[in-house]
Amino acid sequence: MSSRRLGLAALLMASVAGPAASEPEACGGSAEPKSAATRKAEPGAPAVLERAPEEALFPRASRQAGVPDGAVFRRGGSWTRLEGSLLVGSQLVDQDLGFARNIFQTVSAEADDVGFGEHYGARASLFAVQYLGVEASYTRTTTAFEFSVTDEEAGTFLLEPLLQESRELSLALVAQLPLAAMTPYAVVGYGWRNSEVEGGDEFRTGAAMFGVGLKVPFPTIPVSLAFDYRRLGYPGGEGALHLAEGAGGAAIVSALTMGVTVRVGRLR
Amino acid sequence: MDPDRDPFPGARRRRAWRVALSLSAGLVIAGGLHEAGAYQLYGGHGFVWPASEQPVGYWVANMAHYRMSVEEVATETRAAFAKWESSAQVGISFSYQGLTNQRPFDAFDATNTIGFTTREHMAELGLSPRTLGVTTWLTDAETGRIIESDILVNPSLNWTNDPERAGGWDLRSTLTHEVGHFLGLGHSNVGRIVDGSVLEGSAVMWPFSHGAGKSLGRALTDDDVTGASVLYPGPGAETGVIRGTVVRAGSGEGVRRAHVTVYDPVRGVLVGAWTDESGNFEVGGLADGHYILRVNPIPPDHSTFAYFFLPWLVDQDFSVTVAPSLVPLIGRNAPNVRIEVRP
Repeated sequence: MSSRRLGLAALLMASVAGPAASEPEACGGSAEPKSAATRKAEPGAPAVLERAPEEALFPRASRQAGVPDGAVFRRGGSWTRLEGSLLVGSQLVDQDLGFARNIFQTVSAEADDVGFGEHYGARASLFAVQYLGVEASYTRTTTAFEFSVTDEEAGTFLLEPLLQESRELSLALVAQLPLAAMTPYAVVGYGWRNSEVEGGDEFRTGAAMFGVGLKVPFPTIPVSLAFDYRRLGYPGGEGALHLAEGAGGAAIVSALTMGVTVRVGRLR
Repeated sequence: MDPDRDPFPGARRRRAWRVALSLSAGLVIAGGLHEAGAYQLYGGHGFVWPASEQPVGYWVANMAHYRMSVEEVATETRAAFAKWESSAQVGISFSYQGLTNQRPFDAFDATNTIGFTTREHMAELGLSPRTLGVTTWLTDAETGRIIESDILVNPSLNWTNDPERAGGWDLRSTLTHEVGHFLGLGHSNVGRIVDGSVLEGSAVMWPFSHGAGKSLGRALTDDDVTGASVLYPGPGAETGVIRGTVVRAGSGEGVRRAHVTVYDPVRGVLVGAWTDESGNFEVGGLADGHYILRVNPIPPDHSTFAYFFLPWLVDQDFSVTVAPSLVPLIGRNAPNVRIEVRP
């Protein structure tokens, strides 16, 4: 591959409000922590936080009986049933389009890595049990193909990149391990991709997908930061842009995203 | 229409039948001129056989060659015509009418005669002994309608129908080229010679032969088929067009008779065209895709006459240039292209 670019991931903040596993007031839960935190405030005056920070972050009302306080290793209480995420990131792309040649020129092409912001989308997960769920994801990606032309008389040139817009849909099983401070997870599924090359040819393909990630919850709001890695190996041939000879355009895509996950509802 | 593409300038205004001489075949001696390009059109629509004349009948001259019987000549001739009929992109048909005692190059005999003539006749016509074959047209210069066409083959060469095994010049390759002229095609510049040999992939309509002992000239290239499909669109013909202008960097002056190739690296299709006297070009018969454009002059060691251009109407003082962007041809249309060239 030629120059590879990988942008830094960034955070998308979601404004969706909703209950969370670590929020005691969720789903009609006890308002005790809130009232405790404001107990000494005069009527009409701003609330004053008297509790120690740890107590405020992990209020007793949210803990379950029998669950040890080692919150870093085990999250007590309920788990989230539904999660929605907005994500943005980049992709490492290994895609050789092969080559083509005529009596004057030899042409080769390959995909550039997808820079940060050129890969974005949304994801929804539903957990029937605490550790397992299903996930649907929709993303859009702009991939640039770099063409190199070696002309027998004029020399070698890089042409302006050819852009491909892709829409990707995936369905996957999610296995997660909710801890108090983070939730590592793994996904296995299948992704479909529909691509269009600058208003021209369209390609449809699909591939098995696997990935790993980490959700880091904010302590007082039903929001997590999600760091995600996914890998797909799209086949070449008819489902991919490729030149007349050589490689068939098969693509190995490693998507790196960061996002914001909003937890909506909880199972118990 | 581009008047410079008209082999008979001035005649188009006259409603008269004119005889057009189109020198076609390859040169016998290696080291001759070699160029390739695109098809040439006459009056924007080319010399064409009208649909009412199809299938176009032709006869084979009843004259044997010292290495080939008349029947073998007829077989090779029919194969050459059949090659052009075989593409779904090209909508023309021919009909073999049999042998004739008419000589090729006898105009106004209402017979499309293909085959050999005598050496005396060759000398009488003033044709070079290096010329493999020649095609004549009798056309309506006003409309470009072809009335009659003959193909003459140089009898002094050692022709064969099996060049790889028997050696000698492949009659079918030369006739395939000449039949391209018979259709109304001019000379292409899509061709190249390396180390004295014409590269495989050079257009059949490139004016130079692959040489003795080779039959590579039997296979039509995309450039050949595309040119024929523009003249005679078949059911599989593509109709996309790329238009543009080749100009000199700085002055913006149009470059005359520059050769422009368009290449789709996905499909591997290479087609060429020529600019007119203002630097404008048009390449038709293309499928949707993204094309690499290249501009080259007729090489200085090539005679412009090989491409039917008068030398003083041709610009050759610029460098081979590749357009910096792929040109998208979508929905049969492409943005107008402007290519700047430098000395």
